[in-house]
Amino acid sequence: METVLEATDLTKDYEDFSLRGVSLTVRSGSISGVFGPNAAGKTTLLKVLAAQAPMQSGAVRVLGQIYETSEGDLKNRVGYVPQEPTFYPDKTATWHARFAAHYFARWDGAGFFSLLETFRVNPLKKVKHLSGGQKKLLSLATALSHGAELLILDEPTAGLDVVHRRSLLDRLRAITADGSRTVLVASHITDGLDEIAEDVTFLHDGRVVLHAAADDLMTRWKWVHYKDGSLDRAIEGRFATLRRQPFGNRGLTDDLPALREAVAPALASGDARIDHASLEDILLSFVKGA
Amino acid sequence: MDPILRRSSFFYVTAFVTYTGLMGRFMLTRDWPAFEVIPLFLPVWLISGMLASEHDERYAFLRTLPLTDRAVVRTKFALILSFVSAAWLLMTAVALFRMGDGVATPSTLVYVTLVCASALLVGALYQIGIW
Amino acid sequence: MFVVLSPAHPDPMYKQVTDQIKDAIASGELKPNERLPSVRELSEALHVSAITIKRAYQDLETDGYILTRAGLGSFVASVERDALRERKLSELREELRRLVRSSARFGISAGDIVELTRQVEGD
Repeated sequence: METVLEATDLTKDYEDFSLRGVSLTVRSGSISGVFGPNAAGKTTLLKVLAAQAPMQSGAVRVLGQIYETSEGDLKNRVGYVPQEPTFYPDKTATWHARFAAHYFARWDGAGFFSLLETFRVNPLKKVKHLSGGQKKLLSLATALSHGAELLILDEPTAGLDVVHRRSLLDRLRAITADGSRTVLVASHITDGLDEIAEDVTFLHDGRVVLHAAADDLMTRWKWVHYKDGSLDRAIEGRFATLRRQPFGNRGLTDDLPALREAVAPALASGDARIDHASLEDILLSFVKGA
Repeated sequence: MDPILRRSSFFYVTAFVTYTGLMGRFMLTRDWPAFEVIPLFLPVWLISGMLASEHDERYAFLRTLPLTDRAVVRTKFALILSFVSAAWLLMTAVALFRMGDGVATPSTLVYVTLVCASALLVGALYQIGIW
Repeated sequence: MFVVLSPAHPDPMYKQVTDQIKDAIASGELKPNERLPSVRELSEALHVSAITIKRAYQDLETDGYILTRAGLGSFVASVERDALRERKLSELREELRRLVRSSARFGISAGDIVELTRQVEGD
């Protein structure tokens, strides 16, 4: 499987924190998610990957090339949506389209305006009169209208109402369906993007704590719900996360096969149950520590 | 025309026209040591033109375009250079004209050139500072 | 009481709650006239909305498993074992109907299911 993006050992010092030795790969045609708590470094990472900010050390290869030598070509083929879209406040979307059309080799004006219509953004309104969500949608429309093969989106669902968020998720699925485009998304996991991400990277405190296929994670991570006292301390100690609750405890583990024997008696007597863990649960276990 | 150029040149052209209109007129008509004081307004006009142009400039937007930083900076420097050059030409022409009635002297030309050179330097530094 | 709610479970949350409370009553874990946790308590403990728990409690009351006294809370009704048994049987009837139908698609007959039941009982 081809990789459209390869980051190796990225390091960047930022105001309050740093990216340290961040490496990740993005498979061609996939929807790849970078998740993590606030200030984990997601925005900075995406900026570096989209050549919006320089890195201090490390390497980034996109579509087989590097920004140092092929910035123009790559920026044509990579669409970027920043967390805080910036536009010329006194100008309209139409003005921006003309601006963009001058530079992008494959600008699709018709597609752009049709997207604006779907997104309900008035192309004749000055940007300063658009809401935050609408600016986001404008940014999205721009990124989707210049024939980009790789889309790098920073919290694309933030600020969008339920309807637009759903339509965005559907759109991302649709454009990657034939494998011709790849999407890299950064998000707080609860934004619905965990539903569509195939590859998952967890970023915490500037470091990659997990980089795996979503399917694999869903298979390996499980909750063991059990009645207090039905599992002994030794087993409890092996859970990645343990929660004691009034009507049953639960432990999170990614190594159920190893624990199966010990848990079997409780399972058989109905004092324990195995259940799926969500991506959010898994991430939280890394963030809180235990 | 390059959209960046088109947007920014509006401010520079406006600045130039107002400079010409106001200061140029003084240089042409006044006897008072016009050429000692008036050229000093040039850097002021340049900076205010730059301020107006850069106030709404959106480098973050430009960075998403297939445009190298170098190309953007080249455009901006070209504008500063054009502005200062045009102003220099204008002031030199007026100075030459006024050598006839003794208001300007050859040292005036040197002075005007020096002021323009410094304006260029100030402008360039300011641009780098912003960027 | 041991209550596990699973988002992945085919039954909706409120039904998972009612089923598990019914189980607890039938097994004797919850005794007649015993006070159930309040709606707020249970919703906080299980991390589901109060509406879900309220609905569960309402269903339980409609089916006669519990009684709610305004201001005092909800209590396990003193239901006779036979009545409980009858109710569970009619619920089972519905479930079996579904099971038989879906198994038939796989070429599994009711007789096969009966045989399977015997085997499971022996486990």
